Amino acid sequence: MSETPEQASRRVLIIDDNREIHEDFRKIFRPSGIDSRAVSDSEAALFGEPAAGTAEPRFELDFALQGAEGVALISKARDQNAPYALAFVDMRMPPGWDGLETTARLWEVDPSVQVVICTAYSDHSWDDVRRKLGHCDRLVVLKKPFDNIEVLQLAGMLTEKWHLAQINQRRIAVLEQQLELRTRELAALGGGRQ
Amino acid sequence: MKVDVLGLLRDTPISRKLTIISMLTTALALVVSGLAFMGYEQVAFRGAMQDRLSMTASIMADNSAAALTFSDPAAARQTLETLAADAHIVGAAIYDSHGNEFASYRRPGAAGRFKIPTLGKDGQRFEGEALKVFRPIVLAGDRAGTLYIESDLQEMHARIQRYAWIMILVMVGASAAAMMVAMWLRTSISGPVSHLASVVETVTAQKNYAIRAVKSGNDELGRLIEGFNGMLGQIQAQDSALQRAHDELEKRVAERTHELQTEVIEHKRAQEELERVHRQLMDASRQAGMAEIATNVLHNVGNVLNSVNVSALLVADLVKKSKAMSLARVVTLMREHEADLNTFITADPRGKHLLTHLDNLAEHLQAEQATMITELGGLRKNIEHIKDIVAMQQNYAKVAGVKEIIAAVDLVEDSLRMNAGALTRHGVEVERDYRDNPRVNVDKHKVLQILVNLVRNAKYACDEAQSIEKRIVLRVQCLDHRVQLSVIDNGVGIAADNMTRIFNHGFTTRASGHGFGLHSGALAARELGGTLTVRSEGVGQGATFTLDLPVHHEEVASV
Repeated sequence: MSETPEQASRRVLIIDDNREIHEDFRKIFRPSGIDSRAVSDSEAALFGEPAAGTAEPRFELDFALQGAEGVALISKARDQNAPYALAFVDMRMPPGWDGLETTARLWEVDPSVQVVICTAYSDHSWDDVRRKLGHCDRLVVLKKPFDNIEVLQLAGMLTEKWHLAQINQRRIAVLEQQLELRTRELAALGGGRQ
Repeated sequence: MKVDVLGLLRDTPISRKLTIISMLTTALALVVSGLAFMGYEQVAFRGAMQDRLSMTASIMADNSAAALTFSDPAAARQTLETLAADAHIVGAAIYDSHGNEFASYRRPGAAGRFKIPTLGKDGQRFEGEALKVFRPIVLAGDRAGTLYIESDLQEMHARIQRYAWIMILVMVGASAAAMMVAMWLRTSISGPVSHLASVVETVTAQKNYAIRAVKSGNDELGRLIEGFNGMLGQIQAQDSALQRAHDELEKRVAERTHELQTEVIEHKRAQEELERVHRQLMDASRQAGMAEIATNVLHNVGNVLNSVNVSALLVADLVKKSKAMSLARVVTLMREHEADLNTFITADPRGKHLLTHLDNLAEHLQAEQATMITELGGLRKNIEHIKDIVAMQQNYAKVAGVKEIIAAVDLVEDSLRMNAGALTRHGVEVERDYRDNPRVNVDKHKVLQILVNLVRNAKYACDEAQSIEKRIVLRVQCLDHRVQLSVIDNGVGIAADNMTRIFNHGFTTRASGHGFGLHSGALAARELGGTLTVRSEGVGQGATFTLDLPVHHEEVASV
């Protein structure tokens, strides 16, 4: 699959009432914070090896402290035609909406957003989640404390899923457009004949 | 005498009374009627006697007129002799015109009883036991002489005597009849009366008002019996009503007594139940408080652990990917070119990069080290944080139920520490206003339960208000041997309507609240011998919760 600049960057929204968790996500998605390009380049030059391409997907992170704030950001992003692919939502965010409420409202604004609900312990059973949000394939529950790799894998896979869904949608739209065009042509032909 | 008779009559039974009365009545009636009859008979008889004697005298006067005219006494006597036909004529005499006796007649056998009287006045008269008549003898209009006839009253007496006898017989017969009538009357009058009397006796003796006298007729007795039965009926009705009322009253008294007993038992049981429920509630509130704290601890620890994990993995990743290995490779490369190191560095196309790479490497390793130091520092801080949380929890669990003497400010500080994470996270500014620091003798666990809850509520209140400056003031001050621990926030405040309900069980304004905190807090405050009160000017005006506790007595002495 050919990479387009659009695919290279995925927008991810973190909704959590805890600023330290925001920091955790920031660290996970930008591992060292150290620019290693210079040393890698000089190392490659010294040892005569090809420079290792950093093919890691890039994520654009945004943060919200409360559910309402997060939903506002999602709404804004959709309006600006730069929608979020994924949202990490904390389950407990007093005093505002909890994770389930936030997710439900978020999907009202943009149903394509993939959601990872983070929970420190089981506030709600899976049944509760299903009852509140219905059966859905856009939701993953992640237990805290989570592993960096888990977060990265989830981010990678879910954003890719979102991306494929977007492509599919676009393709279907194109096909429908073509179908309509053909139908109109056929109709025009039929009308001409008559 | 009269009184005696009535007195005697008074106590005689009615049947005898009736007999006596009827017989007396009969006798009296007979006597009165007999006497009247006899009186009338006597008068009538006298009349008849006089008429008859007058007639006889008239005939004799006519018959003897000739004899007197011719002065023939024998003929006159012969004429007088005819009077013998009448046995009751005692004697007779004829007087001449001069009043001298001319002829006389005496009834045979009655010579002694008749004396010829001297000439009297004309007319008839009863004198003693005789009817005497003087009658003029007239011839051709001239008075020739006078006729005298005397009749005895034997006939009349005999007649009266006969009547008397008849009367006596009639009286005896009437009395017998009266007796029989009385006997019969006894059944129709005294019978019902004595029946009534016996019924009365029975009723009186047995107090049985259901008995009824039998009515014999519709006369006064019948009405009396009817009336008596009616009275009995009324008495019976009243008696049974009274009995019913009495029974009812007794029943009610018994019921009420039973009710009261039941109530007392019920009340006692309710009280026990209340105590039990209260204990349960206490336990539940304590458990709920503990559960909430445990939940918070879990949440806090979970979040901190998350940071720990991220930091640890990050450091591990850094170490794994460390360019330190590159240094080893550089050293190996230099060893390989040990002989012509100088040439290698300056002339070799690869070697020319050696110094640059070493520069870069040194810089990179320094950056790595700095990052790792930062991460490890954060890691240590986070672990400290977890240790704090755990220690606080242990402390909290350990002192439960034990009284200890502790400085009021320490309690407030502990409660702040237990909420520290949340307060920082939500950007709440804490101001400490410790005006006094007395010591209190309390169950630390309970005080902390209250204070932690108050601080947490204050934090929520600030959050909800969404004010820019979230601010909580903690004030400790002494007031008259008591210490007041106040938590003052500038949050949403409390509506006047909710002021009274705020300490109610299950009352909460938060979606996730369970309404246990302030309720159990107020209970705990009471157990501590203190009070938990609230003051708020209204919605948006913030609120002040004050826990008022007694100061430790040694402090009181020294203050």
